[in-house]
Amino acid sequence: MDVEFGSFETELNRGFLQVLVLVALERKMYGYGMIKLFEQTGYAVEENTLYPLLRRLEKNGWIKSEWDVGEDRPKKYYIITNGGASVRERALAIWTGQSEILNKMKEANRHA
Amino acid sequence: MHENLERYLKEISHYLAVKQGADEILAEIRSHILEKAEGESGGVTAESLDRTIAGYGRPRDVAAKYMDGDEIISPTFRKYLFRYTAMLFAIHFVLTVLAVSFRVSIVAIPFFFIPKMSAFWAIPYIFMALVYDFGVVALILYLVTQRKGEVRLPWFGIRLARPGESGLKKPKRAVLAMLIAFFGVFLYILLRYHTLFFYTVNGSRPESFLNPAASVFFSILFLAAFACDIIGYWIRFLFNTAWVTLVQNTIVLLILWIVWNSPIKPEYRTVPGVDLRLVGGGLVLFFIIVNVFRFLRSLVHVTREMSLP
Repeated sequence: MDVEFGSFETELNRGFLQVLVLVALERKMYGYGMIKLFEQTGYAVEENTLYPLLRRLEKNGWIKSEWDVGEDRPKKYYIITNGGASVRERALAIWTGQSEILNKMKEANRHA
Repeated sequence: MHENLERYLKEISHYLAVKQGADEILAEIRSHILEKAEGESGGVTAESLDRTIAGYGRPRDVAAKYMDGDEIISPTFRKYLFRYTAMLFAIHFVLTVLAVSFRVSIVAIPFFFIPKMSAFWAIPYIFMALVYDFGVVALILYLVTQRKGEVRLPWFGIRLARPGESGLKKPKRAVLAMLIAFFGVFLYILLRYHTLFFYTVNGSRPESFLNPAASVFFSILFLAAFACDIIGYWIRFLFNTAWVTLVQNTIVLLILWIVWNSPIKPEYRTVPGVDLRLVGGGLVLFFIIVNVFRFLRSLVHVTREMSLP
């Protein structure tokens, strides 16, 4: 049961994490900083999941990156692109729509 | 330089089959692990790195996440892999039988090279051919997968099996009883007349086509093949799987192979004017063709079974 739910949760999180990253990258951030920020909001993300996701989003042209080698340790910073911002707005609209559908369904069940 | 971290990254790089940016991926992981080790343990030490590395995941799993959706062979080709291998192997098998029977080499570059060989060497050769055929099909499917575009591969189906079935029929008790009855009759004839290959003239006592030694030898081989069929059929009452029929048909083919390769000497003949090589050879060839067909059918059933969920 737990294993099955774990897989189900992973599927649910897959889309959510992409939207969350697009929202977070309104300002310049690097991977570890993003993980800490998500943790503060109560959302834990596996580090080995976040970096491949960032790579895919960059490949799609939705975010861009640059290395900052000025600090003690080189860091790769990411920020959303104009194309990514457009995708984010559409994704949020879908998310809101789905949330409303769920609420309506729950409401309908309550009166059934 | 942190040896444990570099060792970890090196291992990831072995699995990381991305077209470009592998160095950048490793640099980002290195940066993350160093920062996390420092942030959570107060300093970068071998121990803190070990803990952070353990939390990051196994190198193979880490690399796999960067290759999500980048398959070597598309999972949708799984049935094609087994079906095509079975078909190629079937052709290979028949050509090998012909090459050994007629003592010739058969070459069809780049798919086949069947050297002139004895029946003994054909046995290891045929196993090697199976591995080779699997590799050829895998290579073709790999190239098709990497092409990414829409490619429609031909599907060679003999008969569509119902969903969840391999097409292998259920064994019937009546058939088993009939087979055993026939076996009993053959055994009785062999014990009584010391041959299964005989003729009678106007109801007289049966006379063998072959001399006594050859009669017993070929009759026993015939009965052994028949017994193998019966045992295989009986086992299918317990485990009705195509693997049983595949093994059964392979053994029968091996027995026929022995028969085919046993020289029929002129002194075996007991009936003047009968060309034993022609009659015997034709009979054995008929059995070989029938059993090669059965063998191929069982291969199809096995591949169907393997592709069932």
